[in-house]
Amino acid sequence: MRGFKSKPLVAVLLLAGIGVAGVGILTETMLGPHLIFSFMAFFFSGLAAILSFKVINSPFKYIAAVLGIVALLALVLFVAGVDLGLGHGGIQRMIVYPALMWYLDFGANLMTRSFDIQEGTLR
Amino acid sequence: MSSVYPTTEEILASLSELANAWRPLAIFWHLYFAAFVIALIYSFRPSKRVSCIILAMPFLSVSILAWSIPNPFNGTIFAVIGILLVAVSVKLPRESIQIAPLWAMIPGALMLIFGWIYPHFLDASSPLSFLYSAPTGLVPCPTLSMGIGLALILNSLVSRKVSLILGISGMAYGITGVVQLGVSIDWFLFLGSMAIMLFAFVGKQGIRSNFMGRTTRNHNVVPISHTMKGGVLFFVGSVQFMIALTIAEVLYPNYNLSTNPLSDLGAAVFQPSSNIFNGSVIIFGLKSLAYSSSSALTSQ
Repeated sequence: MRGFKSKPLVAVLLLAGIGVAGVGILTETMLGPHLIFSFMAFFFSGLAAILSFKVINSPFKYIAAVLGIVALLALVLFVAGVDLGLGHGGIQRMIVYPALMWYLDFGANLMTRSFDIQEGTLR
Repeated sequence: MSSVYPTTEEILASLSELANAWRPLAIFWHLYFAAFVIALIYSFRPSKRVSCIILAMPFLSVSILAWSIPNPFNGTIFAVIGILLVAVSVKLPRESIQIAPLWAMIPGALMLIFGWIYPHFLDASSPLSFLYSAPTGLVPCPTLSMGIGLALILNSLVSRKVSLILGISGMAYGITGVVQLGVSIDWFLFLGSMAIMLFAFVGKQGIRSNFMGRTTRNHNVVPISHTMKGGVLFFVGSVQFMIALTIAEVLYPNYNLSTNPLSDLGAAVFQPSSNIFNGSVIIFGLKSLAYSSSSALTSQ
């Protein structure tokens, strides 16, 4: 009855979870804390997608890595104020949608595969 | 020409009327649930069949009252819920109920308390009135909350059908309460409904193994892995967020995907978009937190 062997992934998922829940609790009306939690949610979700590369098997691990890289690149552009013509909301969605797709597929992957505790990989 | 469908204001007014006109019946249902819970505390363990029928009765009460308003929709739905529970009870084994493990009892107890004191619809002179005459057994959402709470405590009677009947109804009424009626506290009902739906979705193994992978006294089964539970949490969390995000965007006036950031949906200016978005984000975050923190605690 163990979870991941990969402690970095667990830690990053934990931080992403705190960020996501914080975004809902501290809304835009409390801008400072809201921005911090938003950044945590975006950054750690993207990072989790990349770190999951070591935990899940191919071909999905490559898709997960690409989704994570796209989310983090979009985050850099979002922070830098570059919207690539998509608008402020549009570039933000380039962070959120890949991350969301990763959560969805990661969840489906976990549901359908057994877990090798010793190796720390899904099989 | 007036519409045949009641407006939101008419629905809310009729529910308030019920909650206030039928207070003695609400007190009866509080005593009914209190007697059952006290009996459980004193180790009384009725059969699963009897427990399922006990669960069904308040739903039939809501149905009868809904027909009296008249609200044929609620009347029909709650009659169906009550009859389905009674029908399921016939096929349940005669063995005694099992109490759920502590982690499942906590959301169950919270749902039970929420339904018990449901702070809406009642024109109470004192907040204390909600302790004994909140509209449980009279209107849909508190009744569903109590039913789901009790079912969670009773390990969903080890029945996927019970989980599905209560979970689907609770999710539908939770969303309707928040979106259509603007009763934001119904997010809590939605959350509890998702908890009981997990009992159904993790499969028969999960139901029979107390959802925690522990073999029960009556069944010898294979444990459900921690990984699978995590998968369910991530998957359900993502799906509910995508649905809620879409609904919130549609309901937000003049929302523009290009110019409006997601956070605008959570600002409390425009309801019910804000409640839907924030509630959904919190649920998503907590699901992720629940799995990763339990993984962190159990990994060596």
